Amino acid sequence: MDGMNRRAFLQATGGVAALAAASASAAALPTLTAIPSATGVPVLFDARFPAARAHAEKLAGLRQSLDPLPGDATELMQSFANGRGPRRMIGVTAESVPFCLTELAPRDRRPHLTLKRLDQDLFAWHLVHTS
Amino acid sequence: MTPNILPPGLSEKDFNDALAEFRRIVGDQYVFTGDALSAYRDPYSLEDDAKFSTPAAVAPDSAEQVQAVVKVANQYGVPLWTISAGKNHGYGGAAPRMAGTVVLDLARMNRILEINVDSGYALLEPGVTYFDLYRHLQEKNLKLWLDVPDPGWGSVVGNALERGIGYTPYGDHFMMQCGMEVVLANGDVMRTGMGAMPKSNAWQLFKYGYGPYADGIFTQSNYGIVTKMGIWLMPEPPGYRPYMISFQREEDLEQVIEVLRPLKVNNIIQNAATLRSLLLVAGINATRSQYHSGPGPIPDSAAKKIMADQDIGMWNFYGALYGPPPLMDVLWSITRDAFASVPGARFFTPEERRHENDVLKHRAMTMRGVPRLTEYSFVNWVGGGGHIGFSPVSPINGKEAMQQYIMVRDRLAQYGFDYLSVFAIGWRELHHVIELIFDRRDPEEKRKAYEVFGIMVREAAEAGYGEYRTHISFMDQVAKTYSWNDHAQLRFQQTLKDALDPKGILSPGKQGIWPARYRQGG
Repeated sequence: MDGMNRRAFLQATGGVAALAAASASAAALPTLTAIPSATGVPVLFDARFPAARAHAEKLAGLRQSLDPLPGDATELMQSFANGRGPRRMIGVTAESVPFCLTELAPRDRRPHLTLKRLDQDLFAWHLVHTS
Repeated sequence: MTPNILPPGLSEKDFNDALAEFRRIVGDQYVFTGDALSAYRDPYSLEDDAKFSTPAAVAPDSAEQVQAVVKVANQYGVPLWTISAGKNHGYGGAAPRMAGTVVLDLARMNRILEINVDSGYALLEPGVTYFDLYRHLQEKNLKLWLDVPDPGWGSVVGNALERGIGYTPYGDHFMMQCGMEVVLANGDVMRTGMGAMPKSNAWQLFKYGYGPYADGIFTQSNYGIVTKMGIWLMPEPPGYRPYMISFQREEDLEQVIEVLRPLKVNNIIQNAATLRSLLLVAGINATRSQYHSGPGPIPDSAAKKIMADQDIGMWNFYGALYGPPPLMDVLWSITRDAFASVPGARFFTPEERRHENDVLKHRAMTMRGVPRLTEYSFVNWVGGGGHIGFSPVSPINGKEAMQQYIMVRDRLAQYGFDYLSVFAIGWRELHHVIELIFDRRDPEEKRKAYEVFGIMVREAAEAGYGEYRTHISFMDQVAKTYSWNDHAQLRFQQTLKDALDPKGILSPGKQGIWPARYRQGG
């Protein structure tokens, strides 16, 4: 769903059938209620894990697009942490991603992190700059 | 307010009075207490957080403010733990060795004071990170390379002071350091080397000045607070060729190291190259659960599948050539011929790697001084992202490398941990940096990691291998392994400590050096 939002994806792939399939798959996943949704903020996912995409789709619902995490996310991380990029990020990745995003920010301006472990490797997370 | 913990021996009133003085010096907003202190905990501590907790952090903006803070600390007996970027992860992060120590956070002192392109150096404050310096060089289009550790989010000064390493020909960071400004425990400030002469313009050019050479005693130490430091930068070479050589068998390690030694000692291998174990390389792109879900170390069948999937070896050598093309041609010819003697050796350039997120493509950046974060993903190997570095040093010798490898591999396996390591090739030695990866949310894993780490320190020392650096939890244990002649070195270090810092306010317990005031409890 790279570069394509979820609504467009559903329209392009058969709508109701695809939605039903995605819902059935998502129903088996752990709840993500700890992670807020945010319209207009893409949900990053780690494309190495099929489960990351499934979790990200569930998290994105119909309002948010999905973006695969780049293999080298250094610039993305820096722009967020330095406050030059988005104010808010949501993702389903291994833990080093939200850890780095938090650690990169100045110690007196750390973003607020909500983190939920989904399985051995994956974490759903929401980061927002509050200052 | 009531702090969560007080410095040892200090009343709450005296502590609050000291904090008020600190606020007067640096400003209210730069004295941190309460929830703001979460940024000063060690995310990878194997022990109870309380053992390394801080009651406050103070962030000065200048050497003058540091001097003023130190004077107040002396007056009240407040211990200070100095950090810069605070990214000493795997060794304690920003957390102090002793509970109740106030963190002296130098991150605001982040000025790039001078860059000299002709002579190839920078004069920096401790808060300048590798990212900061790299960005500055790029923005100004200055033809100098820095040397970065991995990941590159730390302080240039802080890493050199911890005697960290990078990957270019300038990879021994303290070797490339030249000239310091140091605030002493009594609040005095001095400049070392040629900086001690008022009109000298060679502070960043000649390390030694006149008389005893002092800079070394301010590294991995608690004798002073470095507020400025010179670091040599590498002129951009006319050519650069990174490469990778993979070796297929576990037992190849011995021959590889034997081939490596004469190449390094004779400077055929120009940079601080590294030999990386299978799982450390694999961990950048994969996790353990994708290959093995059971307990115990990764089985051979899974290791073979990882090698095939990622097109890597049991051991993977990452090096680079620098200079005019004819020079690189000659060096490569010698290097390739030498390593071709290892059966099954395979040679790669970045362009020959088939995976987009290949480690050689990342190392091609770090070996030319571009700071990255990508390879930090090795911490995800077991999920939960904890790591601690075990870093014994040995000669560049095949038998000894093999002995260390087997000793550590087997001991880790006994405790259910995988072996992930890098042999960093120094001028005459190997830094064998083993990343002990654990799930930091699993108390039992942390307990096991703590136990096996202590055993490895002891066993390594019994075999003659000392750690070059360690986590705050193990600083005392490692210090005691350097025990020749009834701990003569530690006694000398304590003598210096008592002379330079009689009230014991600077980083108590750093590297196992305790001031007299806390020595019995240390």
